[in-house]
Amino acid sequence: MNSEDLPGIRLSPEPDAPLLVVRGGVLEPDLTRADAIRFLRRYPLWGRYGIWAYFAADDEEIDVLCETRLKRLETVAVFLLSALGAAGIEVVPTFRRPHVTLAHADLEALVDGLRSCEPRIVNNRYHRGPGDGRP
Amino acid sequence: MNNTPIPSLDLVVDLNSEDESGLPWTFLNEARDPALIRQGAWLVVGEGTVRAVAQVVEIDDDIVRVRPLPGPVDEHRHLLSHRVA
Repeated sequence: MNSEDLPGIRLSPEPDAPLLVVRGGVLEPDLTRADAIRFLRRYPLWGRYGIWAYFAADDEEIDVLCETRLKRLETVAVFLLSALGAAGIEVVPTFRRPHVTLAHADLEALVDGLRSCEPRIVNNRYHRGPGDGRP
Repeated sequence: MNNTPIPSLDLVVDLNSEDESGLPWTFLNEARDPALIRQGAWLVVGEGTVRAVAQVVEIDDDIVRVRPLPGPVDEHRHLLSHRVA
């Protein structure tokens, strides 16, 4: 098995006991579905559909994410970690902290589960880009 | 209300994505025209209504990694020489 066929999963505990998960952009089902299919195509041996997001401990960390990694995105969706778990969605720490993958073996369960969590939508005050989305 | 047209995409990229490189990535066949995808090329990337100008950092088989620039596409229009103004 080639290690590149699996996403890089962090094994060390998160330092700040994150309670929130943040994903940039709008939760549009067709886009979510396309991203999740692309993920499984990239990491087929893991056997899960996935989309990318970030851990956050509180609103201050959400603001830092908005200013840095998510500054090209006009809005961000903030999920409660507990709600994702209740929806059956795995939250897996992947690659560099605070990056995570939201995963499920069933594509529609992932898409529907994310919507059922009713994430809080936050406008990104660091976003610049009138008319062209969220660069 | 903003009526600025949304630039068309050269390459579909989820800007939340990341791999071991730490960079957003996608597959080569997500390009509007694969001939545009060369190392160092500047492209309009994103998905849905999200747009950013990004540079192709690496092409690894069928994986394309990009480094997006901050700010709106219009600020970087001069880098997009392959596009008709």
